[in-house]
Amino acid sequence: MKTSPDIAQTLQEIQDKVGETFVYDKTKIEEHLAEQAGMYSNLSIKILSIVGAVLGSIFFTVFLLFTGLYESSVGMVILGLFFIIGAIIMGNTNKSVFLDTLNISVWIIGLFLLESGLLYRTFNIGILAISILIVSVISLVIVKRYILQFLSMLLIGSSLLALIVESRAFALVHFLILFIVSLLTYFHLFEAKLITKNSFYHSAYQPIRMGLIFLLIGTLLYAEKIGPIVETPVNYLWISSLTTIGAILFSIWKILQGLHIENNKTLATIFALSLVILVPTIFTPTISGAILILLLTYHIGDTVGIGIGVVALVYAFIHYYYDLQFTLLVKSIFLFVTGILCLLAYYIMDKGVLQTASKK
Amino acid sequence: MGKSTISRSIIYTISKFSNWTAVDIEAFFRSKNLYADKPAWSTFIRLSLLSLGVTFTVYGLVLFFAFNWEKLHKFAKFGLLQALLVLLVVGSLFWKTSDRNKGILLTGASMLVGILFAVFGQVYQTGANAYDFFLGWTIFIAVWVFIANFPPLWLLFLTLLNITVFYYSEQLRPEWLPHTTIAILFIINIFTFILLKVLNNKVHIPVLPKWLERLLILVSISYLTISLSKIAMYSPNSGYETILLGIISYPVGIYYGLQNRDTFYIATLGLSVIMISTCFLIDNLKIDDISLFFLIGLFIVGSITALVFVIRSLNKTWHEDLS
Repeated sequence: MKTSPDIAQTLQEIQDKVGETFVYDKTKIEEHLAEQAGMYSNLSIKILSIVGAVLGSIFFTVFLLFTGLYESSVGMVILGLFFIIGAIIMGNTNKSVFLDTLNISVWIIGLFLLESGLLYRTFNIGILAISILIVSVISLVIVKRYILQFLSMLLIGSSLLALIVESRAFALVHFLILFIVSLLTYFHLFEAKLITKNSFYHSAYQPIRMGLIFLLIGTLLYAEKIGPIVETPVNYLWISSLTTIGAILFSIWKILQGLHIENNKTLATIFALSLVILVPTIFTPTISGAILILLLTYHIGDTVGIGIGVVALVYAFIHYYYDLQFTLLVKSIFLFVTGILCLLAYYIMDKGVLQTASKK
Repeated sequence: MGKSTISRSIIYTISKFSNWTAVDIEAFFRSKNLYADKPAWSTFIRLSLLSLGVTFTVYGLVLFFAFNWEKLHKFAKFGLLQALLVLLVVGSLFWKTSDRNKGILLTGASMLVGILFAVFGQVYQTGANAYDFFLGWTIFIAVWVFIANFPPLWLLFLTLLNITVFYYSEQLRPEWLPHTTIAILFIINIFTFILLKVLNNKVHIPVLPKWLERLLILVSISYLTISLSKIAMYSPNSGYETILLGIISYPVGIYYGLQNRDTFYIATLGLSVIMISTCFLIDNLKIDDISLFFLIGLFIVGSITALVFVIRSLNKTWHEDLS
């Protein structure tokens, strides 16, 4: 499938489109593709590696603690750092996928030992979060491996959230959501811009994108569900909804631009309908967050992301019922009105508003 | 969305070693259908609007009932629910539209059947337990499921079927052996999978999307894994029927995966075997705790690495065969 005639053909096709200014290094492209093809990685392998690494590192960590290591906090910190550095070096030198499990295990064990050591020494969650943040950022930037970068991304978000909760400045969660939403939207809508920016994004684009999807869901769930349970409430949830709804509208605008739909009347109709559908969900940002994920991943054609978006959306709807901030009457009216409006919008579309637009 | 012949990684690589500009790359993404085009978005919007519309409306009504329940007369309750049910079913029968839209309406109707059963039980205090409730719901939507041929409806039906069997064993306490419930659940799911697969191959009737196929397999393997792990850990001299199921299913599953060149089967079955073996080792290695944890950790990392290696080699051979 990925043989060189195919590449030559593709390169020729680009050359025809772009013109003589298109300069490329054919040998390097072929070398790089051969190296990538040699990995034969897929989703099964990624999931297996993560499961294996997490399970394996749990047993190894317990083993290390049993050996009496916990008696020396300095020892744990040093050994932890040693493991982390080892994992980073290993990840950069060995390119084969099947050592991923070992590589990630070593990284997780290192992180765990480092944190246990610090915990024994300081009992300060803030310091733990900052140290995780530092290790994750360094790993994200240095190691060019999908899973490690993905996990680093998750830990960066989690440690930021932990810092906010620890300092009891819960309103900052809205800023964290704003930060994640902006990055997520930017990553999906400006893929071409990012991968031409510098070579870092060639390897980091996909793991960061995937990490952001999970982070958005996680943070929204925290704000809406977990926060109230563990008595760290995030008030004024609608502020986060403004972020997600704003991002949805911006994405729709950019996507329509890409599809060359510029008729003002059509644009106004689409925006008005979107707003009418989104406004009733303003008190549950998880719903608009899931819609945003669905929209963006559908745009770039990422089936895994679409699946995550659908599951998140279904969960958000079910969760809506249990959210006791409003009376059932308010909720039922919101839902019913939204439902009827959706059906109405479907009816209007069937009449051909968008069809005529797409014919232009 | 149209199937693209060129993968993202090729575009990434070319952009890495050339002066390809962002604008041109984006145009190329579009020309290769890697981004959703107008027809794709049209489908997306129609599908979302219709399914969200049906879900929201039905759900909104349910919440309204829950709020105003006590004040409503029982005829009003039944009347409203049944009117909505009839509306959805009639719509799915006479509305001239795609099968998918009809399926969405029928799924909405199937949810309403469950609500109707719940209301019925509440009003007349039938004394029905959870098992009766789910059994009724499952049976009454069964015909729609077979006729509608709509994957999400299959998902609802199978979920209900699993719950029904579970409650049957919980509440009626049949004289089953400890592992029988899980074995029956496994057989139901795997049998449905085989049935759908055969029908799909022979007469193309049930649309069997990949996600439903994988979900069925994942659920089935999970049942088997849980049951066999328990047997390996606590009661090595029981559950022979489950062990027999395992002895038949695992080789068949792996053979099927190899035949269809699908690493999903190898990965899930392999992981299942590794988990069962881990449970077996934890219970049967007669050594001190420190060595045990070390060896188990080593076993997990080692066996998963080996599994990944196998999958990678399979991928490699299959790719080379293709080119």
